[in-house]
Amino acid sequence: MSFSLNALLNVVIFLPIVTAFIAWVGIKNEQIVKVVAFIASLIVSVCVFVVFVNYDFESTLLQFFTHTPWIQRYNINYYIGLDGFSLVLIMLIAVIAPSLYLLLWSEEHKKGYWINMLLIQAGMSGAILSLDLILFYLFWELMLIPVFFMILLYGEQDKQANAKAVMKMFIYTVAGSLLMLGCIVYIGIAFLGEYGSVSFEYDKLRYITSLSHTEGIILLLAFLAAFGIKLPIFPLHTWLLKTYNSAPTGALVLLSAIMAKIAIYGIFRFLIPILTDITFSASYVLVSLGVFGVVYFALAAIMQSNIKKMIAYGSASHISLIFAAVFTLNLYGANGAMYFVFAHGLAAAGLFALVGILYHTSGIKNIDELGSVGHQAPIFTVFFALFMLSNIGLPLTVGFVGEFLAIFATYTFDHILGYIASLSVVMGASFMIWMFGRAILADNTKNKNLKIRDLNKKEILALTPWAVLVIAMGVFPDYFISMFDDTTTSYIVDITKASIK
Amino acid sequence: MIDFFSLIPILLVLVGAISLMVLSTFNLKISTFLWVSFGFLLAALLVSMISLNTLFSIAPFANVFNKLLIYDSFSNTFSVMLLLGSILYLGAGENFARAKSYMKGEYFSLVLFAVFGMLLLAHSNELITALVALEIASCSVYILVGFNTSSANSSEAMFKYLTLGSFVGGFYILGVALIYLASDSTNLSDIASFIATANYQEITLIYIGFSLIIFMFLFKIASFPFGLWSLDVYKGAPLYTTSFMASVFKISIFAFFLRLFMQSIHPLANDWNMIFEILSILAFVIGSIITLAQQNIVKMLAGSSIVNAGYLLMAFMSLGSSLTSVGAIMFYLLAYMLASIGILGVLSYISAKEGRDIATYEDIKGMATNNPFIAVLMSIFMLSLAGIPFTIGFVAKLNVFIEAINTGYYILVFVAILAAMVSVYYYMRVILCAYSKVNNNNFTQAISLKGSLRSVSYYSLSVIAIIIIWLGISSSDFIIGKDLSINGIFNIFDISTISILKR
Repeated sequence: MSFSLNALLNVVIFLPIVTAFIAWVGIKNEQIVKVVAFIASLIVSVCVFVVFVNYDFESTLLQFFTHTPWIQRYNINYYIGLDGFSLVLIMLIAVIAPSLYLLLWSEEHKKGYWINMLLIQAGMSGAILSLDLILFYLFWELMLIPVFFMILLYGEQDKQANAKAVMKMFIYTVAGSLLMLGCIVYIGIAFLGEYGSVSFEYDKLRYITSLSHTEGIILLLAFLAAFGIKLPIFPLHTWLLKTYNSAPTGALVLLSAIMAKIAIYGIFRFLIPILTDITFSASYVLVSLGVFGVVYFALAAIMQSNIKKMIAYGSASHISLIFAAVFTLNLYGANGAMYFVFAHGLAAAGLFALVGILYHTSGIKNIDELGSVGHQAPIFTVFFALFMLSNIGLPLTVGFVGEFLAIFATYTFDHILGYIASLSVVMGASFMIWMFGRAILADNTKNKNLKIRDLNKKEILALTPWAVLVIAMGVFPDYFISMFDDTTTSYIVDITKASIK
Repeated sequence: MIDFFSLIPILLVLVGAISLMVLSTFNLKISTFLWVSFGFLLAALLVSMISLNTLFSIAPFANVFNKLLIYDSFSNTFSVMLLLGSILYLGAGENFARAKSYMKGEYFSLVLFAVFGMLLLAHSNELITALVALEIASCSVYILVGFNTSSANSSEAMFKYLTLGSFVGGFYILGVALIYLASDSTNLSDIASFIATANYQEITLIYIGFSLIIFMFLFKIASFPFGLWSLDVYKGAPLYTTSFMASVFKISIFAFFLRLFMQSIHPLANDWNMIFEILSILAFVIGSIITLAQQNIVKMLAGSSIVNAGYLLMAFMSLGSSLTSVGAIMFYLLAYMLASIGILGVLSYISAKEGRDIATYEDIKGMATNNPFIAVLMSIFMLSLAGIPFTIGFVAKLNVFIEAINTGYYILVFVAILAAMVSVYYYMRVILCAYSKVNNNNFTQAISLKGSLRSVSYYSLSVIAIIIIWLGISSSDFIIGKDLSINGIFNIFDISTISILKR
């Protein structure tokens, strides 16, 4: 591996930031900013694909890492790298980001919109690639600020409601993150007590043994607060609805498709390896929490009449299933969760983007007032159907593989919880198909004159890669699983060993 | 020769102050006074920066001053911070100073006298000298607070501050007397050697004396039980002065008291921890409640300064056991200074053209539409105060947390984290207001006028924002600015810490 390839990951993180800065200072024209932002995200995607091609799928070690000191006083380093887990997520960004710009192309947006999109992307990539906990925290918070400004400035509600929603979201997430920061520092200092030097690198912190059971529980709760709020899982979800309802399409797609997954990634990368014992002893509670969330959010989704809110709750239900799969701590769970992360990312991105287009052309979010989309916009309907079917786990789509593996993992973990988790398929199908029938296919009885435009060429071009992946990953799951299979296998072996010790 | 050289920065500022006083008898433009004060401060800053990264400790003219003054890396680092802060503060408010009719040449003379007092305070090695230096600075600041004679609030603020300040000064003098009674000296090094040899009964008076001195410390840094004056004084004073008090003045107080803790009573430093712990928890709880209740931005900042003093006290508790906490405190001070100058500079910038100073949250509405650049700068300052990553504020808070956890104050850190969560609300609220639309707002509409307002303030604020971001991300591995990265700054602070311990 040559130096230049290692540097690619830095380009992935910093190119969007640099582009955003240049666009902010130097470019006045909104159209040019849009083009520049799109090109930047395209370059990032190319970089990620180059990394992907050169990635050694056999190896379970970290690859493409960069390690330079940042705050030497406390041994905090700029330490980034890639393994199977991060590869899945960084690929998700690479697939989603450029398409997203194309999808938003026809919506007229201010300069700030695109700049914030770039910054969110940079923050997410940074969080995915960081291996130092403080650095992770840094990017974890960084992605929040552009989301804050996007919802505040370009939100879909009126100004007052946007401000309220965004403040709630911001305080929730910052509260969780600050608790996590306290824990990170605590663990770093515990490492100092045990090994004689401070470190915040995850691959060192995982060897920590001096944490007592009580300490472990407190740390676990604090980490779960941070990750659980971002996901969100059951008792921490109250910010979700308002934020998703206010968020403009660009922010919403990134929020639901990628940002929530970074929390899953954080659990895999940091929480479980560092607090292995406690996670094993608490796994039953956590899986139950996830399974409860599956049912709870699905029921909540059935109650919604607003199409955006319904998909928001539906996606929360699926994320709860991923959460449950993660804490089964077996190989099916790990593979299933990673597959589901990608599947759900694609489906959520597709659905939210299409709903965004629908709302943008019609100005309506209410299911009752929509309808007659099918014959007015056939291509739109086809794509919508595809993502919806993948979302409810139809065989031969990517959603099926992910959902099946996750439910299977839950079943191997505990039969009863497995049965309950499998309700996810039924309930998901019930509200999604019901919504699809009423909002898209059925005749519109309330607004007879509602005109829906079909997708234009750019949008079709944008959605095609997603659609191809949805089907390809559904038909050839083995090929795609083999990309991260080695990482997950050795990961599960490691944590199982650690828990037995 | 080296003795004289060491005093050049202080003397430059003194000469500057006197020459400004002379100049103010002529009817010159405000900008002339500004440039003259800039010149002297900049010269002093450059001289101090020569020896920034070296370890030394001398007592200049020891046979004349009898070790009243000390010139070491620690005091020199603080000189640099104070002078840098003063320059940035003068620059950030330039616009305000030119626009307000009550601003006169004397104002700048007094500012330089105050800076002179603060530099002297940072260099003083003796309790009485410190009092004299502190009073030179304080008296100048009293006048600066009451400078807007046409405003009743300003006069009220001045009297409130003057009365309370003098009252608390009494405690200090009593404390000094008790310490002198016990140790026969007011020199910090002599007190240290007395403490090292004395038995438990002999140092009882030292305990009482230092507790009284700490009263004054807590008053001057606007910490919890004695900090409530700051709400009225910050609001009443001209914004220009508020910026000075909140940033530069606070640092100078820490310069002396850190020295006092590290040099004189270091063996006993842990004995005040119980009090500090209770005080900082109360500062977090009550400070947060007070701050949340404010509808006036300046009062909100004053309230939040009480909370920030809580973080600093938290790091103070680690002084006895961890030497790196000195660096953490100094870094926090630097971060707080920059962000305070920034935010108060923005507020003074937009209230320059108006009859009254900016007050409520309503007054900043529409800022983003009228001048997006200033709104972005203000967001950076607020994010830094809130401790959001990629700003210096995050690194500062992180250091303080690491030090406190390392010393074992878990509950306290938990309360501090809760306070930080609350602080996100009141800091972000400012940004929310700045980015909300409003049709008629004289304050923010004034800043949409281009050209006339593109002044020194504009550039000073940009410089502050750049420093804030730079010190939030910079690594020593960057090609440029090796010494000015986070590591470089910490190196300087660590050298300073070593220099006081050598005494």
